[in-house]
Amino acid sequence: MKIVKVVIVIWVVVNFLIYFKQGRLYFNYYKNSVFQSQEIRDRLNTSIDDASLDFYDVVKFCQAAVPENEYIRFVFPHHSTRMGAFLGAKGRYYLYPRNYGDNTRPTNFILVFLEPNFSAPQDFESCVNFGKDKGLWIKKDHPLKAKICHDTPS
Amino acid sequence: MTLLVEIFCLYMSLLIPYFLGEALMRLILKRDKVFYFLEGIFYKWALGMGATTLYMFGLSLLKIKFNYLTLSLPAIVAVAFSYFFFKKSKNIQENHKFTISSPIKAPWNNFLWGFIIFNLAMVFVRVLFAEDNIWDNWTMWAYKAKVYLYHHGIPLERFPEFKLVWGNWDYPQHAPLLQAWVFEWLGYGNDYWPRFPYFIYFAGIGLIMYFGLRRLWNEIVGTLALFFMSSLIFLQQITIGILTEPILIFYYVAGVLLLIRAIKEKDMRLLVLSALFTGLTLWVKNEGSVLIMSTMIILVWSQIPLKEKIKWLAVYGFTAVAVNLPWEITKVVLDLKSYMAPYTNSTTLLNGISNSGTYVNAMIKLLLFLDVHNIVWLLFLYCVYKKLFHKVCPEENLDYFLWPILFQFAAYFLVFVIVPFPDRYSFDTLPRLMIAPTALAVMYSSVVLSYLVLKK
Repeated sequence: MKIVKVVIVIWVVVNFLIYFKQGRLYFNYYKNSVFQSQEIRDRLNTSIDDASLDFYDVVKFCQAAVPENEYIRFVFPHHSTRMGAFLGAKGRYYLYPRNYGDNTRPTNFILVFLEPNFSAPQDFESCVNFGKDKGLWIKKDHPLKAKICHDTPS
Repeated sequence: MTLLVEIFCLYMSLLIPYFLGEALMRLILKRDKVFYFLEGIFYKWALGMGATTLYMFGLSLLKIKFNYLTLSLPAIVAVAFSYFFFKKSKNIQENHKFTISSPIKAPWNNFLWGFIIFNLAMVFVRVLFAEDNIWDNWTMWAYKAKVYLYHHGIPLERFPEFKLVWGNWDYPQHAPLLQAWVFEWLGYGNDYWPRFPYFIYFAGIGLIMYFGLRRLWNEIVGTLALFFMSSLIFLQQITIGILTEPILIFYYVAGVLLLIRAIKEKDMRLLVLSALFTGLTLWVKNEGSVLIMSTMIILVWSQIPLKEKIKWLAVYGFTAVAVNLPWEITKVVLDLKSYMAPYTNSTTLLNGISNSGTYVNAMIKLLLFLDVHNIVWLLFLYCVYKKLFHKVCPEENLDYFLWPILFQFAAYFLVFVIVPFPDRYSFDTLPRLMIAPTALAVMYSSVVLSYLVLKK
């Protein structure tokens, strides 16, 4: 029985040491967001640094403004970067069916986010400006241009 | 939708699989009471949940949309059928009346149970508060679930496009369909309610270990196993992060415990049940193929006469494969390949063998990493030493746990050697593969430790 007691004590001590580590890690989460609305939590989970804090608002705007039968091409940092992979995955998660597959389907919309080297195709124009290197672009002759581009997000 | 309505919808989404599992159990066990009450709830619910997602996959193959009628009707029919057509049989469980009388006296016994309840409650709260949502969940399982909710089925015709982007599209469909099932009952995509079934699987792992080991050995073995598994930090973390491993390990542990019981009680029905649960591991993740083989190792090494053994192996293998056949055929038709496929070529085997020291090094570091496994593996090595060299519990056949552990180590060694995919030695990939052998190590250690207690 003595060896079993020693095992139990060591096990519990190690566990509590790790609980304290985890407590420090998640303290801010519980302090700032767990008792907030789902939307605030979703906003926090849809960013990985200060530059992407508004990504949630951007995808929510696109969700509301762009019809589901339209395809939005993403122009984000390269998918091999942490930011690019995160934005691409979150974008697909929120905007399906407006984006899926390898991002090469014919499109009337282009969503640019944190990509400074974007050069718009000739038949596209800026529809909504979300900030530096962030914007929604639309085909010039799209019938919904007036409706969508009129609604600039706050 | 108000909170009360959402809770009711969640409740229905959990109740229907339970009824389906109850009906399937009656088909196999008739009305024999083979489990303790709480134990039976977990077995029936998990079996029903597996059957539910298989059924949803079948609906998608037939291009029938998910709705309340198509999703709930089979369970209602199955339950009515099983209640009317199976007469009461014997109560096997009468010999195993449930009473708690542990040789471990208070306060230690109270402390163990207090720690168990503390951990279960803590994980429950952390799961529901969505403390963590690990990448694999929202990029794969939850994402697919939202896609399936949108289409009210699996849009198999879009898979050729889906698979152009990373997302493990060759992985089985249980996890996304489980979440999609909850979405369908809620009527919309909610990132929080689908987390609840993951807690049920997590709690179920320890609880079926408790009841199963208690039946096979004694109360101490069950209590210790539940104590260790409910407080295994890495298992808690991946449950909170909504990964598939808690589901995988539940089905695996259920399969192992039922198989050991089937061998001891010479009951073919328990063998079939074990094969169903083990087969469901492959319906959860591709790693289930290794788990199925490692469980069959238990049969190979059992004391069953050879002719009987061959028959049992055939029944087991056939049942486990049959569960997964529809998805495996679909994968071939849609040409869904593993992300590991590009990394395999004729030179990798030789290169891999020469780098096998890296695998051994990574394994040793991982198994001794307290943040992941606590002292499980140190304890396991100590118990193996005590059993082999100090003849603790010499009459007990613990090869049921030992051989599958060795098989899995060897299998993963082979995979890592032959397929040098990136990050295979990361502390993301390896710990998840090691959870299954860790569960076996916990059970082995619990048996040996119980003998050290009883020796007094």
